[in-house]
Amino acid sequence: MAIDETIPRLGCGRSIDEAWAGIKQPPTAHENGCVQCRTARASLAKLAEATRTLRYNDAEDASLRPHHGVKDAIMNLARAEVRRGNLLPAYQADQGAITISEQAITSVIWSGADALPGVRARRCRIHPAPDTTDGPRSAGTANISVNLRIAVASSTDIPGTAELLRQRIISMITAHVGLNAGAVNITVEDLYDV
Amino acid sequence: MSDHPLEARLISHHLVADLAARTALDTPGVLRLEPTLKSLLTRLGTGTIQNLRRADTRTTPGRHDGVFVTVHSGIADVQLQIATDIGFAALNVAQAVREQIAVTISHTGLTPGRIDISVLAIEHPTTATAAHPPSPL
Amino acid sequence: MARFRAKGTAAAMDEREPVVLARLDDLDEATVVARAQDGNLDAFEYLVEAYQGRLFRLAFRMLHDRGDAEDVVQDTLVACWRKLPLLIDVQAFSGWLYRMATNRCLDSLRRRSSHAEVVQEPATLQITAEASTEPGVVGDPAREAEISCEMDGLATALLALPPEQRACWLLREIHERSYAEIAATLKVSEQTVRGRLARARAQLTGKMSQWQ
Repeated sequence: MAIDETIPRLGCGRSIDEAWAGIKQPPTAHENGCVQCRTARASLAKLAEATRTLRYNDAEDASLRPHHGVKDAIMNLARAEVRRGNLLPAYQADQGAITISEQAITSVIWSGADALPGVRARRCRIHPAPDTTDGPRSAGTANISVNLRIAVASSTDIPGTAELLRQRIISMITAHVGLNAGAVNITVEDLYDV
Repeated sequence: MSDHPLEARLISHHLVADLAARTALDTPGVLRLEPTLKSLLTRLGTGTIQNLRRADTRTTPGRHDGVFVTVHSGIADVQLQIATDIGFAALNVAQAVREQIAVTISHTGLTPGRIDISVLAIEHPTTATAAHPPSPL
Repeated sequence: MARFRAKGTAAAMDEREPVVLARLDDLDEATVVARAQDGNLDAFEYLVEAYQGRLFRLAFRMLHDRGDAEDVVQDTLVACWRKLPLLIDVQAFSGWLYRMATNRCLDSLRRRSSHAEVVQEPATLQITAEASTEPGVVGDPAREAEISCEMDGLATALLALPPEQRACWLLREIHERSYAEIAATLKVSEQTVRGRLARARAQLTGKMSQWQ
């Protein structure tokens, strides 16, 4: 790897890196007096300008985007391999069962959290509540427990907001899913600046 | 043996699937049937990723994606996968679908057997179609 | 305030409570990534839309072939969907994606390497250069033409760099990735990244001066 790490030097002994690092500053006394340094500075400045232009133009260039078929193919594959999480038992009777996917409940929870200022809901795991793991009750609805990770705005009152969110999740799950959220565990994993 | 052997033979599982799908879609709070991985893959074919891209793969689910029916001895069992409207309680919607499908099946002369419903998605009706693409970064 | 509202919400629990869904634009990227990890297709589509252009530009400058570049974008984003649940640090998402794309580009070049690499006159690059305007130089056609010409020369000179040097240069200078991330992507030391960058710059300035 030694050769790989070698940085090319100009005839006067200065490295290309030193010359590059200095191109935005006025030339030093050595650079003023050294022909090799002056030439290197001029061509590196030209490279820097061409680089800036390339970066800007490529980003703006409508032809430098993939054909829309690429995104369609990616999304079709993602849809075909969609991850719904576990199917949670919601109702059980001899005439048939009702199950609700973890992802369906998660999207309700995200919706609830999104309405609260200063809260961003991230990953969510949902489990059948312990008393229903060995078969949900045949009448009435099953209990679930929720583990949600969130980011909060840095100015947020964390305990107050978490309690508000917990209440909101419980009421959302009742209203939009039809289940009882027995336990709602909220973990604050990140802060963000507003 | 069924009390209605003649009808049982006339009513195919395809017809029951069709009736169950229509019944579900007519139930308030049901947005659509949810296709399964298997039916989607069948529709997309087994081609390579590159073939997927070059072919027009904007597909819409067939009417029977998301419903499975078996008919045996005059009894119809149904498995149905749905997406519900977030404005409704999903469990209530699923219960209503079960009850309505049972009624529909008995109108055919078959006996409703097990009717299993899975709610795979709960969504806003407005966002259920296509996500608004963000501006390119 | 928060406590008061908490009680109020619990008391006024109402089935018709409005349900608000955040626009993904209003969320931070880490949150969108977390939701895509949990299987949310809208969140994943948002990420595809946000990154497909950047990954394509990297792959196109690496491979100089639209079809190959599209393959890299597609393979990378499909792998992204499949492996997303395994990504532990959501903050590392963009670096992770760039790493997968860069390595697919290098693999593609290795597969090609049995054929002699031909540096073609790049038609698309010329269109790009003609259509381009650099802010700050508008109004000086002569200077504009000169800059276009330099950019064109740079794009062509890039193709003559060894692939790993080209990757270093593009990731640092065009995509503004950190030295540490580039080193991790290419499985080399940061010192090696600095060495490759310096040699890439030396070679590029040499090539560009030949073009004048």
